[in-house]
Amino acid sequence: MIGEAVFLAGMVMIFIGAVYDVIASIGMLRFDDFYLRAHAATVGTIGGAVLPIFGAGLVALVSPWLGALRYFLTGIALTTGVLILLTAPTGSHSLVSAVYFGRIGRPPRLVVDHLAEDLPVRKDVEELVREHEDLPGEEGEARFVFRRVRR
Amino acid sequence: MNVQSVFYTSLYFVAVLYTFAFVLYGIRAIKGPTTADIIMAVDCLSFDMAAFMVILGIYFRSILLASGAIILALWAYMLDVYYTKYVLYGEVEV
Repeated sequence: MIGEAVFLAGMVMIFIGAVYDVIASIGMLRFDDFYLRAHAATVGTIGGAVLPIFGAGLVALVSPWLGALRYFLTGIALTTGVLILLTAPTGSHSLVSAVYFGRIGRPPRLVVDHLAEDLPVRKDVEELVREHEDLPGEEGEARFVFRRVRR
Repeated sequence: MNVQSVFYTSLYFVAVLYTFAFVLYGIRAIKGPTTADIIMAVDCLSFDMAAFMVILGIYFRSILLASGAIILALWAYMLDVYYTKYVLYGEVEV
């Protein structure tokens, strides 16, 4: 009885994940800005990948026809789910920060941009980069300076 | 109607939904205006393909098919981080 309940919960999670995936892919195709597409990508990774992987782990745990293989499949499913749960927000955040600070593509259509007000103006960044590149032997600090901001 | 036939029957609908989503992600990955759009679409495609590979591993009772999902998830994360480091810092330092 408890096995069938867990199986039903896992199948519902797989179905909801598939529906999330279709919604996120439609949003990824229809949105016309990179930042809106990042929103759709968040739906597609957390709702469309982590949720069905946990559901597949629950399904594999209570499936009697798999034999001894079900413990391996459950372990793989839970490991992959936790890895995606950790790495997908980090990757999306780094990609959006690369597009914003590197000024790739069109600028974001915003009403107010508080981040641009807090950043140093571009001449200061240029001077910082030039001063730093003149200094010899301190290449360890170069990772804190955006080099491509100069263009 | 036992548990196995329920799983095997309902996987057809799930496979149709996943394939539709993969095709739409692929269209965005092909026609993306900038490189960041392509990388974001490939990122979503890789994570969802990892989820689908685990489900297919249950379907085909294969341990080798399911264990490739871990490597696929980590590969998509590596793509993001390398693109960010190349764009912002001009080089990829390991």
